Amino acid sequence: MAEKIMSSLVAERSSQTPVLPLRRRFNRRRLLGLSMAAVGTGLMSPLIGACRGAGEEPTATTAPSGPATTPAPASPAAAETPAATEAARYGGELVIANEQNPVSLDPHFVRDVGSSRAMFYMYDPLIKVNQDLDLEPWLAEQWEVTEDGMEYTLHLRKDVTFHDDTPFNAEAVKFNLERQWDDQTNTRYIDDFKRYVESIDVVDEYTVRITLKELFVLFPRELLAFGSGHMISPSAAQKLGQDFAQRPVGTGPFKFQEFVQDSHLLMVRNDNYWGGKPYLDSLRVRIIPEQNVQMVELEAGNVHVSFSVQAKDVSRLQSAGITVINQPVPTASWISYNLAKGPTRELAVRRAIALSVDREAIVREVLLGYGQVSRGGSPKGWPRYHEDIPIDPYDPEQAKRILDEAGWVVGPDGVRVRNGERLKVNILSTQLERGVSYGLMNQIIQQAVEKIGIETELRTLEWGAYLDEFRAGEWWHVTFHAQNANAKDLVGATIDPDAYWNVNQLGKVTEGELVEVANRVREIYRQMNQELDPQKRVDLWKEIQLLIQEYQLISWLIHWDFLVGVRPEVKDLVVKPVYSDTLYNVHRTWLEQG
Amino acid sequence: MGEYLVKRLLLAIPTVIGVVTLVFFAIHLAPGDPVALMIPPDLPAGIREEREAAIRARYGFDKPLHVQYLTYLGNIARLDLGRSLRTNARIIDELPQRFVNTLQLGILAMMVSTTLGVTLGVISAVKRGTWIDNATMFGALFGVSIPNFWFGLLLMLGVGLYWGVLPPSGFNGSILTWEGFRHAILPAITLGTGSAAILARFARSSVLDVIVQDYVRTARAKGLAERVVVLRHVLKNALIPIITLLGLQFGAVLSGAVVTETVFAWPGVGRYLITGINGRDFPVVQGTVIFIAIGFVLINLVTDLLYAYIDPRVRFR
Amino acid sequence: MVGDSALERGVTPIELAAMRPPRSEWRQAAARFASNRMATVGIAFLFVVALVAILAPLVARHDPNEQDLLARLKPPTAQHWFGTDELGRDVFARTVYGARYSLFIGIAGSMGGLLVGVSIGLLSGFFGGWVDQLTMRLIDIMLSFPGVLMAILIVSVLGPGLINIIVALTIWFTPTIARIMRGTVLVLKQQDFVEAARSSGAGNLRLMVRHLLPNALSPIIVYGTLSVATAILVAAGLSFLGLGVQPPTPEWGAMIGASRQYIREAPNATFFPGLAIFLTVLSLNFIGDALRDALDPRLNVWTASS
Repeated sequence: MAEKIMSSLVAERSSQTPVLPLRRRFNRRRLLGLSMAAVGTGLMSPLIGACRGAGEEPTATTAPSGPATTPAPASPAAAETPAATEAARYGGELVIANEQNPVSLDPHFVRDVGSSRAMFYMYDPLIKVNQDLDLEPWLAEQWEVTEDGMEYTLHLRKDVTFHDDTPFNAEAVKFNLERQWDDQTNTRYIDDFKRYVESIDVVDEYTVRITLKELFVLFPRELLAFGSGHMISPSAAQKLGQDFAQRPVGTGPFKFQEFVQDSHLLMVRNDNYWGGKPYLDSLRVRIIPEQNVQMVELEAGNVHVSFSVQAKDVSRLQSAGITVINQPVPTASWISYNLAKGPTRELAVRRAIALSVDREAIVREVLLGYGQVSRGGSPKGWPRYHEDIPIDPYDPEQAKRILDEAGWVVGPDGVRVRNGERLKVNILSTQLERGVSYGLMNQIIQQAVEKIGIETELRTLEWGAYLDEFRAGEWWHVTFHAQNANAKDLVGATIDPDAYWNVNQLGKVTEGELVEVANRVREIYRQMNQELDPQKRVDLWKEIQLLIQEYQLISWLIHWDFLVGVRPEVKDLVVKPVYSDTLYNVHRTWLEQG
Repeated sequence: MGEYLVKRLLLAIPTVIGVVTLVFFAIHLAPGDPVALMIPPDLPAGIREEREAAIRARYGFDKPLHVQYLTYLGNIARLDLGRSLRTNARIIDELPQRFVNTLQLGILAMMVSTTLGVTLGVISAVKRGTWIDNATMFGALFGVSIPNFWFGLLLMLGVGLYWGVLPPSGFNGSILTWEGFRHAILPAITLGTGSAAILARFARSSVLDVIVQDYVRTARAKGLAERVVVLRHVLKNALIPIITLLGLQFGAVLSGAVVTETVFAWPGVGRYLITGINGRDFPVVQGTVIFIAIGFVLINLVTDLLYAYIDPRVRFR
Repeated sequence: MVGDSALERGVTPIELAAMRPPRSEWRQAAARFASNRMATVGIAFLFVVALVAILAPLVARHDPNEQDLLARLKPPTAQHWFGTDELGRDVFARTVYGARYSLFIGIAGSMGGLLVGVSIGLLSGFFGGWVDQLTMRLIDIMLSFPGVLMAILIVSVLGPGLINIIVALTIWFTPTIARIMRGTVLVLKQQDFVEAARSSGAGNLRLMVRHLLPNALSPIIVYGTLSVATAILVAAGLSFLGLGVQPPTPEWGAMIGASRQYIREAPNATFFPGLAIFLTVLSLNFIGDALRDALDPRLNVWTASS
């Protein structure tokens, strides 16, 4: 199955039409998704990180395989140029554009997409999430999990050394994982490790046992495959202490050379890479915050890969000979309602708002077709996509009728009034851009609800203040939210009423039917956290999806496509937009010279 | 002069402490809790409070504000600006590089504005009343009236995106390298325009002041060529106030860099500050503002010294 | 973003004060001003801008906030004179309505600074003593922040928004104006007419309001005009940085900030609001220059630019 996706992706890249026609792609995704569901393999990472969702196989023991034994996907591009011999592939510098500086070059401090796209090439994770979002052996060539999901035994590769020649072994793993506990180091994973991990024991030189404190079905995915699962050299870390990030040492295919803030991160080939000598001489990540400028640099050939392509750029890039990969990613976006404050406590108001937004127009005019209307918060083809969950249509007339019936009648100035109270919602916004612009979407929502007779006030705050205001839940009633796939760390669709970031203030509801709804959601979350069977977790999440729909706890909007621009001279590049390194197996990527 | 220097430096100390105090309290009283941003979204109750407390303790946020303030003062005295809440990097490691980047841009911008401004100003004074003079002064008004972020965007659009001869934005290393220099041209022009306009007007009036003086008339009467008169007698004396203004303009240019750096994605102190503000990164904002304020105090001092040195009529007070 | 430093340091307050025209010369100054062609152009343009701001609903045929996703990022047409922006809003209507915000912020911000600054400067200069010392130290501290940085810091503490921008501008202008005013008052205090007034029994308040203030007006008028220009530029800059007025408010700087991402697709959406700022500020500078020439040709005051 994996091979199929991979080869179709590669075919997609090198085919005559660089972006696959939308319909064809959707059909393929749906087919894939259905067949996946049929065989019961978890395809997906959790769409919503915080709910322990589908797609985990904690009991599976995977056969040893790694990059050394798994050849790079057969590339039709390579087949087209048979003259490109193995030797001719060596050399060159691949330049990747990145919007932000990596937060840190120490993987244990990294949890954001911007960093993962820049710095993970210097490291290897214990377990990798591959481009199908399945778990794949990496530094741990195999692992076992006990029946109850509480104890993991990792068997490590024996042929790995760090860039500073420190051997990679069980002690190194223990050092790395215990580092996550350390209050002084205070990594980005400290909370998860303190909450879930009981102990890390060295069984023998190449075997490690991890005992959990609390069942966490996503443990390998979240904590062994992402930042905390990347191994840093214990000797370098001990020697450099907090300054390790200035001179990072890992095991990855590329070694740290230099990092100039806001300019570039330069990495050079690790000749002794256990997965085989990388083809590229070096890897340069250029920090280019301006989206427009990334496109210009891509067209000019100064950058080979950009992850910031927007729909508006596609035709221009294509005419410049640049391939645009449309990578399926379970993105999501929705309207959050404040269920505990203001008019949005009322179901009729939420329903009316949900019907007032023209999702089709957003997909067509803003995303220029590179996206889809959301059904239950999942794009087509992914396990959480269910045809029987209804989509909120665009029906402003129905929205007005609902409000009329609820007693909100249009007043002289066009604003609805009930018992002397004006129908007014406060919209919270920020300048963040995550696939779509928060500011743009909030303004679209603003106009949509004004059209059905609701007064609005929109307040834009910078991201930090936005989060404060959002979490406080005092002022706002409506706000737009979007998230990428691996969203555990983001203000995801955390419907869990007890979560710190509860997107709809469900936890604060004290009256009406929503109290009962909150309790049901709580109970489902509790079950999901304990559920080892991925299919059952999909089912449990579906219950929440139906509750969301019935009560409009949030209103799903659209999914945007993840577009990546790649120059034609880049060969065997595999994009994997979630978890750790965004370019999969970059040591197999090469540049056509000349 | 030594005494004067010491006196000026001593006077600067309360100013700097005042700045530190103002910034510290302003930021700490501002809404927005940095700790909230550091805690993962789905941490259950119980563990969450514990972690919040741990983070507060780690950064000293749990102590009363005046204790935090005194600690901070002590740290600054030891040149320790703390670590960024976001990246954990030592601020004192990052700021100087940022400052150097801003300085590079600032110096280039000053070169643009001085060359352009002084040349045009002098020409316009010498040719006063002609169309050249009018055009220059009109242009100078344009220069001070144009919003520089807009001007920058226009340059970026025209020269960078459409014409494509210069990189539209970004930073590519030191301006002493070719690539680095190319990236600095558009932002430097943007940043230097306003200053060039001010310098042109100032240079013009400064030259006009000198040109009516007796010794210039004498020089002319001696039959010296106009060019010699201007270059040797007029310029030399007119330059004194211009040089003073250069120092002041340099400070202004550095502060203007905040916006220009945002337009052109230039990694200087300005962008560092804006990022810090957006991330509620207290130590970064404090450190940057203090750094800049001290820089300003020093620039002013140097300007005053320079002025006193060049113009013997000014005595050290 | 050439700060205010040229203004506040290029000329000492003493010089400014010494150059003040006697009251009898006001009429001559007015005549000089009226004969300045650039000032006439400036006033005419500002008049148009003000008229457009007031009559915005009549001038613009579209609602400035009315979105039309089907007509996003369109170039100028007969329907949309300045084209449309990223939400399909009419850029002409937004620019027209934007005049209201930009003019209001500019005038309110500089007037706030004038009011507070003049009061502080007057009191401080008149009474002297430790109050004066303390005020001046505080002003030194405030002036040791580079101009725009000060405004950014204030807005980041207060939060973005129309009122907060005005507050930030007021705080920003205050120290400079206070300093100019104080210097002027210090000089005037020594002069005969003040002594004469005092000996004829004028109280402190009367002295300040009737005698000192009118005589210190000319630099304040010039600075006031130019500071409106500065205020408009700075407010636009702050809005551009996202620290200003809230979307979808059609403030010029905010419009540029929001549309700059689409500058390749729809340059019109950034071009026209920028042109509006530019021409308005230019007009103010024409007027300020003319005022300076009229009130005292030797006065060296430049506007700050953003």
